[in-house]
Amino acid sequence: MKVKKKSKAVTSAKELKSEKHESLKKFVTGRALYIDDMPTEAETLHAYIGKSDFARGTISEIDYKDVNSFPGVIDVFTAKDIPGINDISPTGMNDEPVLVDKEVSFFGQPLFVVIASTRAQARMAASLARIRKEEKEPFLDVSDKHHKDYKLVTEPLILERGNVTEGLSGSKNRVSGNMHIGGQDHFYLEGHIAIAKPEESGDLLVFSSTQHPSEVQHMVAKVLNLSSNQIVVRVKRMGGGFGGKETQSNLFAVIAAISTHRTGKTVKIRPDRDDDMIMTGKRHSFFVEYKVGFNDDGQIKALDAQLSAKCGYSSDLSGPITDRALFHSDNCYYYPNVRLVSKPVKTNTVSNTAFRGFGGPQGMLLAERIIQEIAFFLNKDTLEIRKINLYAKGKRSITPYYQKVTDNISERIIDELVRSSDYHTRKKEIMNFNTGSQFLKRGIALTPVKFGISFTATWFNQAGALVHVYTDGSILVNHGGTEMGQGLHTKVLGIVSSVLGVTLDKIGISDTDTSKIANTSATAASSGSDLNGMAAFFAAKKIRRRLENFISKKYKVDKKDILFTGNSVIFDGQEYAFSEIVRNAYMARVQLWDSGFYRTPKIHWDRKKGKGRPFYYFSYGAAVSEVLLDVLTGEYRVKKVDILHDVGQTLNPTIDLGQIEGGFIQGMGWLTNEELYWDSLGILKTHAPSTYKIPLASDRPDDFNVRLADWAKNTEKTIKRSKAVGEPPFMLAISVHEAITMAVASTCNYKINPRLNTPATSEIVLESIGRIQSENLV
Amino acid sequence: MAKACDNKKPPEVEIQFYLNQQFISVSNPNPTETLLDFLRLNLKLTGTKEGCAEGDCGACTVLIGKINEYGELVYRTANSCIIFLPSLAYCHVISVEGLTGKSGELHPVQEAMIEASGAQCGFCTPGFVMSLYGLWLKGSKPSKQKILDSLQGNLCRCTGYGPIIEAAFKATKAGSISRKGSTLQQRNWKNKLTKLMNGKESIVSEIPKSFSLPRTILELKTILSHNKEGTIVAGSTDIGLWVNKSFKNVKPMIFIGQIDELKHIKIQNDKIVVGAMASYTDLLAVLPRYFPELKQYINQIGGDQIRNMGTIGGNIANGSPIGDLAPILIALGAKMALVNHVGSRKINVESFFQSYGCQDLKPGEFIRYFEIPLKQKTDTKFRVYKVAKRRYEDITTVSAAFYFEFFAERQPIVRFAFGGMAEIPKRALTLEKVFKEQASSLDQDLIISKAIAMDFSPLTDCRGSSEFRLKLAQNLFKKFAMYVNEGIEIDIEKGP
Ligand SMILES: Cc1cc2nc3c(=O)[nH]c(=O)nc-3n(C[C@H](O)[C@H](O)[C@H](O)COP(=O)(O)OP(=O)(O)OC[C@H]3O[C@@H](n4cnc5c(N)ncnc54)[C@H](O)[C@@H]3O)c2cc1C
Ligand code: FES
Ligand code: FES
Repeated sequence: MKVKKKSKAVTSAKELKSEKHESLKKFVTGRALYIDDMPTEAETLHAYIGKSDFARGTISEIDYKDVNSFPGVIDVFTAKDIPGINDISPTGMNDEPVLVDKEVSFFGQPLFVVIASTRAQARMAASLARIRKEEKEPFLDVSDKHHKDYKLVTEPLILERGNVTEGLSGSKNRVSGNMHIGGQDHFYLEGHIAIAKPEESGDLLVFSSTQHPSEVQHMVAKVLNLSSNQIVVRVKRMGGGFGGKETQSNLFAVIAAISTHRTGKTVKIRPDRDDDMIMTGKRHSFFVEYKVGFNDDGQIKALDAQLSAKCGYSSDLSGPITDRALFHSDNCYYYPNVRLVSKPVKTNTVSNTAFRGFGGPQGMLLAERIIQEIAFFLNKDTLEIRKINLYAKGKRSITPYYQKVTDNISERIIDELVRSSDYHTRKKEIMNFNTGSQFLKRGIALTPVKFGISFTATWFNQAGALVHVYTDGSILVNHGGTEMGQGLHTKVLGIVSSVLGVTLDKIGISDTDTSKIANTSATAASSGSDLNGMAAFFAAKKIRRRLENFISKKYKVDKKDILFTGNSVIFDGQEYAFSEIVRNAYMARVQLWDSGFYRTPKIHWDRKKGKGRPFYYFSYGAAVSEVLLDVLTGEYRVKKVDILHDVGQTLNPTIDLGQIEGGFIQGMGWLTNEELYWDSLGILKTHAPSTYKIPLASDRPDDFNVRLADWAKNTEKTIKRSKAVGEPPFMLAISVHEAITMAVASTCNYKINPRLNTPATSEIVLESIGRIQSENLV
Repeated sequence: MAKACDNKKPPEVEIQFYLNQQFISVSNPNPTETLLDFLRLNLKLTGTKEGCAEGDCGACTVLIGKINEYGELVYRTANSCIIFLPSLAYCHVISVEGLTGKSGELHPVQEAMIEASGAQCGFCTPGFVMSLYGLWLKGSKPSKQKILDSLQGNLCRCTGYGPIIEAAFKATKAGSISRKGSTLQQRNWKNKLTKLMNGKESIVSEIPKSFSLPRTILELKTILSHNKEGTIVAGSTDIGLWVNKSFKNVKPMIFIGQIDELKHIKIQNDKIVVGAMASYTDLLAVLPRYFPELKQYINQIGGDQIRNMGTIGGNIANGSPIGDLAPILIALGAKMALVNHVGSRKINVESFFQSYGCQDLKPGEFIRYFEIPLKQKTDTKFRVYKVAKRRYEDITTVSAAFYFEFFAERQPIVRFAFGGMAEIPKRALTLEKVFKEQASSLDQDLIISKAIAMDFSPLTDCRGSSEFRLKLAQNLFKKFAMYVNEGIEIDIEKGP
């Protein structure tokens, strides 16, 4: 077939750009398989965890009589029955037992496991143990000054630059204060689940709803005293993860595995929603204390802050999470003199864990609180204070951890958003409104985001992928990342498709599988497509090169003149089907499959010195939010939100916009309605959607505009110059919190900073209004 | 008709219904088996998901078609995780698997969800699809408010809802043509269900067994007289949780969903008579005509699925201090009829609540209906408020209903009832008294707060502290006083 013109473009990236999520049709018809939907053998058994009903103390005896005699119960096991090592701590701290039989450290701690014929039987039986115990007073509140004996779960981090003491004493103005920042439950719609299947000679195949299959593999091997090559972990998709399935899936996977090991049968474990919420970690709540010094135009001179995190009973990922909180305590602002100290505090609560932003959001709230304090003190617009403190060139580009901010676009983003959202006019109009309205108040605020991309544990920044081209021209891709709704597979498919010029309907992606790609990193830190996308790109590229070589030799054409597009290969004015070329290449014994490996360049980090370049690049964005507040009830509505966000050159606008909107709403939930409540005994009272309220469709802002900063480009050589998108937009929601602050402050004419803690529930809002009004009278 | 049983086997009980296109008959069902488990575990239909097993997330949403008390076939969304099998007798259940055509063609709501990219992880998606389908069936071009109302019972943690709302607009715009075909189908289904129902006996028995399914009030009386410890099951939006979460034994269960007499809502001269089995959705269709302020308030109860299932009888019978209908009924001076096999009595709803967990309901008694007096005067002041942590689909922190009818010639009628302020729904008698004495000067914060503090000492829990509740009660009253004295209404929903 003749083609008239040779086009220069090698890829058809443009057409592929707005590809929809690869599984949409399966989702809407209910045919997408999650682990609980997978057919299993009729004789599959079910495990369930018996948990502690108190927060701290010692168990003297557990009576299992009613558990054992419950119909359908096949086996009950405890800590002493674990064949290997009774520990699943992800960072090798040896502080996270699978099961405990004596010392209880939090409400909901796993004590024993019941295996029964049905899930209902196992679940019911697990509630029947009689536990005799001696309770002790739990450590719960990290801001509690009375508890001198609080321990830390891991080494704190100190970031220090300049001279804080002098900086503070030399400042014209100084403010100090503190802030309580609430935690957050992930509330992935699909709860935790695992299935373990027995394979030959004691080997196991484990299906786990996990963001970190390799870690599950290692943990299963460890508790069973097997080697990693005996365990295969497979993940098709998750019904949401958000960080909650980075380490927390280990527990359920190892329990399924031990159960299979004991019974020789396939065993499934799926905790009930309430148990899932009780037994698994959440976003850390923080208590931050700060002292800031600044001059009369609002420029910050020095900041001294301590960030105490409620880590729960073990370290889990609290080290890197509190580190990341410090890394983001600057947000977009330059601190000439700074000291940031983390305090990862041990408490008698479930061990807190990764959650979208990974400590970054809490750090960023501190930065924005500092801006607020200055603005209220000087009676200036917060935006003015923000702008005067933005990172700039030269000396003012150095972060508290000595990395230079070289890709800064925050000023341009802010200026464009100020214009497009008509911020100034609206703010004036809102202030006028507030003057004339006693019980309804409005607030508006713009907050920016700068978020560092890379795992701060440098070695995690690696990934692998496999691309197989079959002789019929169809392609199968596999990579180390997991799909949890973020559209990673769609993006990777798009990348392979554009390299090989094959349409998406001819490309499949197989389950993430530890027997295909080894030593994978968690799909986390927004890094999924940066890492796996690049690995898949390399793999596809290798195959393409081989095909080019083959064609150029066989047909005597210049490699440059070969075009791969639309399932065809075009050269010399001729169009060949991709499948035909592939078959010919196969006959000529050309390797049609390959692997790709990628590691992020340039990054390094010395934690002891607090110096380095932990981040490959930064992502930027900003949001303007407007709220309407009922002063009598503390209720409010988010009326309008405008977002301008930087994803570099987008890999897929539909998916990126979805991440931005979803992230924003999730962040809004964290700062507004989502309240975790432990009573004085350390019992979590908000462990179900009836008491823990994530945003609903009707909480979505009435008017919600999201734009990509389409002019932005990654200055680093990422895949197609794109930027990560998973976490950064979460923090755009800080603008909502700040808009509420303004509305509250309007009740005493903006004279006092209401210092709203989070989540800013109606209760917190009413309490703050009452507080500033009485302060105003004094 | 069940054959006389000469062998010793207990009589076979069959629960029969249609699922999508399939006829289902379950012999001797376990009456606490949920529809969700039946679909997923027995039939291996795994499209319907479990996200919470307590009616709050909507991942398990299905449609239930039922011939109502007026002989019409009505489809409504429901949470399959808290529906027990006997509640499905003679219904047409549609699960997500039933939406797709035989040769795989998608329904317009599914097309719209794909087009709008309304899913990320996809786990909530089948539930949303079913809620959208329920909306689609109601007719074209709903307002944005209607769309949001119909999505209140579904949680999504990924998308931020934008694309789903967009899909709702798209689907309801496109659906009108094919909906004609579905009217025909509905007639078909109505015939099928009618046939199924006719010629079947009520499932009743004088020997206590695990459940019964009476069709008339008479049968209900008889059953209750023999099963005084039995549990009446109406919408099962409470009982579903007792079973799923607290492992409570609720057998024998008496399902009252088949008793049409219990569902009527009638206007009689100066009052509205509401059958105990009327759902929130049924109430929404009638009450706002007489009390417009109830529309917003009832829409703040549960999500659409819960409003379709939960009943006024269950809401009062459970005695909850935070049940939302109680303050309204008390403020409106409603009465309730309690019936057993020997007779009936009528009491004030107010006096039904005695102390925490203790209601004026004798063993063997059931609630038959409520009588809500209509306002006597057009200038009657009535306002209701609900504050919860989240505005929609959340349990009340404090609710309040204020009723004030002024007469020149005699004492005014004043009833101020609160939920969430005491161990039962309760009137604020001191506040009422103060109000009667100095109605016009009642914006003095101090007097109000003192009166309320005398009336209530609320508890602190995960929904709010005692101080917060007191402050809310005070401020809600302030809102009412402002409305009475100055005609001003403060409502963020309506905006500035
Ligand atoms: C997700 C969710 C959200 C909810 N949101 C709200 C809310 O916002 N506001 C609110 O007030 N409630 C809410 N509820 C609670 C629930 O919907 C109500 O209490 C409901 O009205 C109970 O009615 P039902 O028909 O489902 O009762 P069932 O669960 O069937 O029964 C409840 C109790 O009432 C008894 N009963 C029922 N009918 C009768 C009768 N005729 N005579 C005697 N006893 C009877 C039963 O025996 C049982 O003890 C919510 C529940 C869920 C699951
Ligand atoms: S599973 Fe959540 S509502 Fe049914
Ligand atoms: S798409 Fe994941 S919960 Fe809705």
